Amino acid sequence: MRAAVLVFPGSNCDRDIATALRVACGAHVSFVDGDEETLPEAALYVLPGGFSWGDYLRCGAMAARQKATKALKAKAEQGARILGICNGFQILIECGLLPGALVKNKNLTFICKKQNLKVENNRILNGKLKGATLSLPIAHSEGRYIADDQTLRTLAANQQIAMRYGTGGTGSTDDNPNGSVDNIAALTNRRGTILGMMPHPERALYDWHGSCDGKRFLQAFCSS
Amino acid sequence: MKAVIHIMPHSTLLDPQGRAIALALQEQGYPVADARQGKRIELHLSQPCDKATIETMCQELLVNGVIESYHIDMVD
Amino acid sequence: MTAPSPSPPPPPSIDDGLTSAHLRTIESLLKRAPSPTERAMFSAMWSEHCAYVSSRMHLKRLPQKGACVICGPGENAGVIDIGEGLACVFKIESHNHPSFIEPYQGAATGVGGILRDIFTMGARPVALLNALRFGAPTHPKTRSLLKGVAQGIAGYGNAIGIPTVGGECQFDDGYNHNNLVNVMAVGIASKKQIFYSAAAQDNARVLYLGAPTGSDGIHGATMASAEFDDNAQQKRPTVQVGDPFFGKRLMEACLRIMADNLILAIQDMGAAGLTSSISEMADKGKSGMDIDLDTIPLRDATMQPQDIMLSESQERMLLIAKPEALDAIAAIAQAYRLPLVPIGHVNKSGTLTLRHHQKIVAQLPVDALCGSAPCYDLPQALVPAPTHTQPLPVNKTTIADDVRFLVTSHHSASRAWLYHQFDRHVGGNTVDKHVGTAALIVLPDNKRALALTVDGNQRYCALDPKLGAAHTVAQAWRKLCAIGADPLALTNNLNFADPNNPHIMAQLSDAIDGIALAARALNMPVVSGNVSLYNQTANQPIPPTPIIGAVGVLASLQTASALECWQDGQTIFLFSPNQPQLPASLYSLAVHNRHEGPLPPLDLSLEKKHGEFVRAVVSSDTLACPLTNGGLALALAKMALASGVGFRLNKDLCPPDSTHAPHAPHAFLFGEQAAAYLLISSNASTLRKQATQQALPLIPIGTVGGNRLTAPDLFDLELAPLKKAYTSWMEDYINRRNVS
Repeated sequence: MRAAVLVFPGSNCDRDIATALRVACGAHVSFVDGDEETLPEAALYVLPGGFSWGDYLRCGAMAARQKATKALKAKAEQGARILGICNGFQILIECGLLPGALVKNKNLTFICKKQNLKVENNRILNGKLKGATLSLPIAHSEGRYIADDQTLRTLAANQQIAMRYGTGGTGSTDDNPNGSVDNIAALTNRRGTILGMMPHPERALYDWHGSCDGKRFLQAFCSS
Repeated sequence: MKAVIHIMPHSTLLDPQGRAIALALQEQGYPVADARQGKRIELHLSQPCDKATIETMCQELLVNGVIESYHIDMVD
Repeated sequence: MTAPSPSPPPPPSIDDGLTSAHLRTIESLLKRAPSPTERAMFSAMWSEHCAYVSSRMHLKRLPQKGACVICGPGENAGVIDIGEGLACVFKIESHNHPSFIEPYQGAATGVGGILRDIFTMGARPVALLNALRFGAPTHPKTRSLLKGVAQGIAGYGNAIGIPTVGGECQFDDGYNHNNLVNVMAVGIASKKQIFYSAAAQDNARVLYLGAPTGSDGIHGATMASAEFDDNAQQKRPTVQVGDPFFGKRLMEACLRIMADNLILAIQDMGAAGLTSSISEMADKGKSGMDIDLDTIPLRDATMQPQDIMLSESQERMLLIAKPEALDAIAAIAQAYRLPLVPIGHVNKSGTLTLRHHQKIVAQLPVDALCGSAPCYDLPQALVPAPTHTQPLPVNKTTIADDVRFLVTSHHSASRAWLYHQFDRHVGGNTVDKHVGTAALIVLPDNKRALALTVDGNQRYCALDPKLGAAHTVAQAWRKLCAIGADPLALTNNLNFADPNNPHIMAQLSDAIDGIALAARALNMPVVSGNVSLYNQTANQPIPPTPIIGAVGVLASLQTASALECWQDGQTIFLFSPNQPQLPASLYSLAVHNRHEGPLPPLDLSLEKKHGEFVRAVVSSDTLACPLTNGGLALALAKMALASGVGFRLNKDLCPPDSTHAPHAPHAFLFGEQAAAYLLISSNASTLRKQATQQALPLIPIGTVGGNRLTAPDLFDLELAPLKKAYTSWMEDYINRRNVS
C-alpha cells in the first residue's frame, strides 16, 4: 500500500504515523510538503497530528488553506481515502471535509492519557473491529467535538460516527475526557472515505506502549 | 451599560501568533507586513461603574501587565 | 584565568551588575575604558549566570570523566556513549527567576532553551523531564504559579513535539517567594555526528539562523544573578516570549543542516544572547570574529548595539558554515521559512570586533571576556541544623490517619493533574507500561531503552547539604537500578540562595562535595549542569536544592521491572540493610512538623552492592521499588494506588511496643534509609536463592492482593476511597475545592 503523509510547518506526528503504517500495514510511505500543489498517487493520504502553524488563530485553520490541502480536497471529491489524526482531524474540519467543530476541552487543559473508545460504526474499518473497545492514547487541548442538532442527526443517520469515548455507547457521559457532544471521538464523511479521529493509533503499536490497539486499528483501516 | 476592553501584547513583545498569521497570509500572496493578535472582552455591567473600576478589574484580573497592554471603551 | 579572589564582591550595582572593582579590572585588561557596548558585554559574560563566578572553582570537584563520557561539562550539553554507535546528549537547566515573574513564558522558554542545547549538539531530542518546586499550597501565589508553569511547559513541549516523560513536583513554604523550574532534556545522536561550538577556521562565514532579535530578556542573565526585592515587578520588561512553532522549524532545520554535514560549528543564543554565543565560539576555537551588527535581523529597528548584544530573544542560532555549503544551508532555511543572514567572519585575531553603522562599537580580546571573568572563593560558614533530641509524640492509634494524610495531601498525592497536561507519548518511543521509578524511552533498535530520572531532596539538604546531596544521587541510582537499568551518568542543577551569605555558600560547596562523593562511588560522572543562585526574596532563602538528573540504559525491555508482578498472591519482600530512621523523614516533618537531623547513614559501597543485585534480579517477573520518602508505608501505598490492587502485611513484623522503643512501628513503617527496596516476584524461590547466595537480607513481609491496604494492628485502609482522594488532590486544589 502507498501512503502519503502531508507535513505542515508545526506537524509533529508525521514521522510517528509513517512508522506506524510501515510497522502495522507494511505501507510505503512518502512525505508531502504542505506547499506542494500536486499530490502523489496513493491509496491513503494522512493528515498527521501536531501543532500545524503553532495552532495559532484556530487549530488547523492555516494548514487547511495551504496548497497541498487544497489539492487534497480535489482528491477527496474523487473518493480518495484520507485519515486525519488529532490536528489532522482539526484540519479536515477547517477545510470543510468533515462537519462540526473541535473546541477547547471542557476542563480547559491539555489532556494526555490512555482512553477507552468504542468502535461505533465500522464501515470505514472494512467491516472489522465491530463494536470493539480500544485503548488508544489521546493528547490534545482542543478536542471537544461540537455540532448543531441537525448535523448530529445527520451524522447518526448516515452512520458517520466511527468512535465514541468510553465504553458506554450512545449518549453516555461516562468517561468523556473532553466534553465532546455524544462522546464523539471519530467521524467519517458521508461516503465513508474520510476518517477524522482525535485518538492516536500510531502511539499504540507495541506491548511496551501499553496497548497494541492502534496497530489493530490501522490494520483494519488499511485492510481491503 | 457595557465596558469593552481591548487587550494586546505589549508593542515591544514578540507575538508568535501574530507572526504566524502574517506569514500564512503572506504565503497566500496578501500584502501583509506584520500582524498582532489580541483579545476583546465585553463586560455587561449590572450597575453603572466608572472607568477607574474597570481599570482595577483589568489590573487585578483581566490583563497580564507583564505581557499585555489594554484600553477600555465605555459603552452606554 | 585570574586567581580566585578571597574577598566577596560588593553587592551588584543597580544598573548592569558590574561593580567598581569589575570596572577597574576591565580597564586594566583593555588599558582603556570600555565602550557602552563593551561594558554591556562584560556585564553579561561576568555575571553569575554565564561565568559561574561563585561556583566555578567548586564545580571542578565534580567527577567529570568516565568510560562512557564523550563530552563533559563546558559544551551546550553532556554527551555519553550508550553503545551500538549511539550517543545520549543531555542536560538540565533552570528557569527559576523568569518563571516566577511570568510563569507561562518563563517555563515555556525554559523548555525551549534546554531543547536548543540538545539539538545544537546534533542530537534529536527524545524526552523532557522537569523538577518543580512551589511554595506552600496555602500561599496565595502558589496556585497561579503552578497553573502557569504547567501550561508553559505543556505549551512549548507538547507543541514542539518532544514528550515530557517524567518529573517531580514538591511544595514547601521555603519556595513561597521563589519557585523552581528545572527542565532536563535528553537527545539521541549518532556517535560520529556530534557537533561542537568551537569556531576555529579562519575566514569561515558566521551565519545567523532563526528569529529576529527583539528587546526580549535584555539583562536576563544579570537578572538571574541577583536576588529579587519587592520591586520584582519592575524587572518585568525583560520577559522573553517563546514560540514553539518557530522553535520546531528551527530544530528541524538545524537537524537537517547537521545531518547533511554542512557546518563546522554551531551554538545557540541562550543567556546573554549574541554576546555569549560569539565569545564562547571564538574562545573554544581560539579565534576571533568580526561581526557587522547592521546585518542582524531586528524586530525593533531602534535597538542600540548593546541591546542587540544582550537580547535574549528565543529561537536563534549561530552557525559556522562550511565554505562550500552556503547555498545548501540557505535552501534548508528557506524550506523551513527561517531568516538566515551572514553576519561576519571568523578570524585568527583573538579579538571580537563589532561594527554598527560603519563604526567599531566594540573591540575586545576574547580572552579578556571569557578567560578573565572573576572567580570568587566566597567565605563559608555552615550553621548546623537542629538535631533530633526529643522523641516524636507518636501514637499507634493514628497510624492509619497518618498514612492517609501523607498519601492524600500535597506531600505525596498524585500529580496526575500536572502530568496529564504534558504529552508523554509523542515520538512514539515512550514506554507506558511499567511502573515509573524511572521513565523509559525505547532506543531505535526497539529493544534497549534509556532510563531517565530527576530527583531532589531539599528536606535532607537543608539539614545536611553534603550528605543530603549524596543521598539525592543515591536515590537516582536506586531508581535506575529498580527499573533494571545500568546507571551511566548525571546532570545537575544547583538551586541555591545568595552565595554572599557564608551559610548559603557553605551549603553550595558542601552539596557539590556530596554529589561528587556519591557520583564517584557509584561511577556516574556529572557530564553537564547548571547553577542557579540568588533564589531568595527579601532575605528569605530557598532551601538548598540540588536537582539530580540521571541517565541509564536498560539492556532489554524484557528485563524491565514490571508492574504486572504486583498481583494477587505475590509475596512482598523487604530488602533492607539498616534500621529505618525517623529523624529527617517525611513523616517527621509532615505529621509532626519536626525538621531535624541527623540524616539516615549512607554507605555507598552497600548502595552499590544492593543496586547491582536489584538490577540483576528485576525482570518481567520481578518488580523492584526503592524505599525513599515516606519509607515502607508510602512505597507500599503507592504500589497499591498505581496498580489498583491492595496488600496485606504479615503480623508482628516489628518489635512489640515497649518503653525502650515507642517509635518501633512508626520507624518500621515511615522511617527512611539508604540502599533499601521492596521486591515482588512471581518467582520467589529463585529470588530467595539469589539473595542467599550473596548473603543479602531478604525478608518476606506480606502478600499482594485484595482491595485494602492492611498491616495488622497498625493500619487497615480501603483502597478505593484512598485512591479517589490521592488522585483528586491536585485538581481539587487548582479548582479551590480544598484548602491544601
